[in-house]
Amino acid sequence: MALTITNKFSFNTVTDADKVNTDFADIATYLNASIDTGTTHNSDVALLPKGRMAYKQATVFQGGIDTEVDVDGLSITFTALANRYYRITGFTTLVAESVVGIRVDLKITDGSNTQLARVGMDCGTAGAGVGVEATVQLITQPGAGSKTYKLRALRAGAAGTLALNDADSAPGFILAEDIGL
Amino acid sequence: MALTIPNRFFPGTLVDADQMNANFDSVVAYANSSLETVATHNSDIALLPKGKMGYVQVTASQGSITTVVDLTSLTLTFTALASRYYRVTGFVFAFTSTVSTDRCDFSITDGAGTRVQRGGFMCAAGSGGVVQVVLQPGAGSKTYKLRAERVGTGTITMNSDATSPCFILIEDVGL
Repeated sequence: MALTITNKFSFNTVTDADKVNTDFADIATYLNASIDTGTTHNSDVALLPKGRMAYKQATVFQGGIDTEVDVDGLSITFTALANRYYRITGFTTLVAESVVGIRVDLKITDGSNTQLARVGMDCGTAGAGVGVEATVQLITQPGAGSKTYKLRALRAGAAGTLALNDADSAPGFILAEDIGL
Repeated sequence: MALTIPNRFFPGTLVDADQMNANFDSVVAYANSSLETVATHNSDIALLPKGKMGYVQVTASQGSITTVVDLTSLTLTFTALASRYYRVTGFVFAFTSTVSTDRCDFSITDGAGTRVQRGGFMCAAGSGGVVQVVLQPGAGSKTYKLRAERVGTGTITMNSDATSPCFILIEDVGL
């Protein structure tokens, strides 16, 4: 819809107040319709995913893991909004340091170490270079407020130790994304 | 661009028609340029990813897998739009087997069971993770589901519990 004005005014002519009022009414009608459209846009935009909320990466080797530990540096905190869904992704590379048959449980926990999701991954042959990768994901609708998520690693399966083989060229990370309503 | 009015009028002074017209013309020009901006916003918004289209999760394990089977309740149906791309993600905590050399093939299929993506997970100590595929399925109702298939001789279990949920997620990732 384009704005058009009904009346034009001429030099040396007595202006009819009704014509002025009509022109102002034209403007009011147009602006009110435009403002309504703006409101619709606001709500449309609010439905869209907002993407990255928080991200941290780790590039340091962390070895000797034989019990459940925090993955160094991979803890994030962000402000969640009511009703929205968030995807938390954790990624790391792994290597069994001692024996075959070790499994890692890579966990996403809250700030109090309560487990929210985990993935298991057989670490394969002991000492086999880079080893394997593990990706864990959590889809959550946590409600409004400050939320903390972190990665923890637990050695499972066979006895022994494993290492998180993060490096500059193979960073582990934790990422929180707003994926919409 | 901000709206500015070129002429002001004062009490006791005759209003010049040209000045009146100029004021109205300024309002018209401003309003119509704003309308163009709104139209641009409409098309920009339509290009953006729309995010989550559907999500379901399970927290119960499913055992006795010796052939290709649907993973219970991990099926989603949604209305796709023409030309848009969608990412389908499946996630399982761990597949284990009664035979340590078994592998489990973890697949995404359409509603008819036609595979569109697959990942293999070794069962010796238990393994799981993510499979995902990006599709442009065209407009209409679309169904995707997760399936598991034993590769080997044992009996496979998809492991899940309340703090180890397994899920399928579909996201609109844009044009």
